[in-house]
Amino acid sequence: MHLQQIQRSILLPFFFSISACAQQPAPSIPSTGYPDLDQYRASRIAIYTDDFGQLARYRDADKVATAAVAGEKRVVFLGDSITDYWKLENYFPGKPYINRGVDGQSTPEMLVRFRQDVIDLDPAVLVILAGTNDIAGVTGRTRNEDLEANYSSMAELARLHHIRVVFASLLPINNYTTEAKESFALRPGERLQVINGWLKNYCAKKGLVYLDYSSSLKDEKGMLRRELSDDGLHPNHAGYKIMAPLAEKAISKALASKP
Amino acid sequence: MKSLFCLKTAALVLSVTLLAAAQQTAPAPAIPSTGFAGLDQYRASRIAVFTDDFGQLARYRATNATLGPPAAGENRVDFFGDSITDMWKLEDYFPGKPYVNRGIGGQTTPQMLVRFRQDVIDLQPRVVIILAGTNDIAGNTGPMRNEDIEGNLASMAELARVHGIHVVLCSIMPVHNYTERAKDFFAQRPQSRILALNEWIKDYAAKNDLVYVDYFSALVDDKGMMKKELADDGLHPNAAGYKMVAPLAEAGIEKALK
Repeated sequence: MHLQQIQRSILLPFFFSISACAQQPAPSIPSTGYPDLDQYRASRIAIYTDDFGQLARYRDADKVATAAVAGEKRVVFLGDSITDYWKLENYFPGKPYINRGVDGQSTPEMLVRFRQDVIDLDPAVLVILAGTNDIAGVTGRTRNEDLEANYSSMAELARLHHIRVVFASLLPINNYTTEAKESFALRPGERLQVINGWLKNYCAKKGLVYLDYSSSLKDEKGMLRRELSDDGLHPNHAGYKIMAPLAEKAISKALASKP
Repeated sequence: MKSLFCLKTAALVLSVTLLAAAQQTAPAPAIPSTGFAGLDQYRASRIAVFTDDFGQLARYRATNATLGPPAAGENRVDFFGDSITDMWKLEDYFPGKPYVNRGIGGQTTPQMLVRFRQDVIDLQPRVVIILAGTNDIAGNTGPMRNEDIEGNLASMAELARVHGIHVVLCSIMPVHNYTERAKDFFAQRPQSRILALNEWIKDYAAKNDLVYVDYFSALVDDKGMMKKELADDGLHPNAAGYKMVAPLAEAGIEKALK
């Protein structure tokens, strides 16, 4: 592992020099030091170069959904894989809740698709669960200020369009399984806490609703409870079952506020 | 000499690469081709930007920190855009004015939206003057529909408005193909798309009470091209080109400040 990291950093300059010699494209993605993440990022190269926000993902679905029924309290769930994998129809049957999660995404990607996937759908409420992939560095290294800037821009755009905003806390992670170890190492617990603290404070200041998933999902070590997630990062059915009523309560609270 | 070095390097890379490949499944990224060799090469050179700092916040981070908030009564203006802004020496064309250049060569509107907060809002300008979209049409960050470009311009304008920043939207400049070097730039930017977007920008500015500055009309010749003498490469204004648009920008800024 350590040896591979060293080799990669040695290799990088050589790739640059050969591309300079050959005068033709020989792209190489900066390494994160984590083999799985490197591979994941390499698999997404066409996304980063050609459709950073991945507007293609929901473009057709958005067109169909655009006409909101009069009086419908539409809710858009915006986020990454944790939202993407959430079968909303099973947890909120009969509700006009729309899933706009895209797995692997970080907040700059969401900001880029925000207009198409949120504003243009004209929801009454927006639930944002985002940032864990920023911390992991999926789209490059980030500072907390960068996440906060993107949260703010999304919230401001939503408010300008009279969409009520719910910010969900980031979920805790665990390293209880082998599969979970890299995801866990990429997301330091203290950064998750700092971001959650910022979100809570921002919501209080701006009159938005803060949705605290974290307190209900973590164990006494501050980790995602083992039985609520199989891979340490994504909730399983039991995890979503705990989150659903919390989301529902936050949505009701948001709906009671001024649009 | 150089080619010998390259050959040696190539052999070395090959052996090291094989070694690495044997140890792990090596990521083999391939950037989608645009059909333009020059653009493909340019995009390949920017791979680390796309994967690690899409908005290129790193570019102006330190400069922004040293700039500090505007002085009392200072009418700071933020020139925001791509290379056409980036290469514009504002101090020569607007001497003594508190105008800051936040252009970045090659950028498209989604990239600008991502850095809008750091490079515009946080600098607390009175006015932002946005010149953007030509690289979106060219597909620098992938194929874009006009609606996508319009959406990003609207989001930037709205964010500015939330923060009490006056917005000046500029028309996209014409391009010419009068020189060999200009031919790709021109082919990547269909005139009909520039015209349609400019129409939208003008209309959006009117509807939302923003200032529209029409660079296009001042730069275009009777064939609908950028005037040959105003751009050496067909895309970027030269000194004569900047001289032509500077007073238009100034008039737009004055209008916005009122």
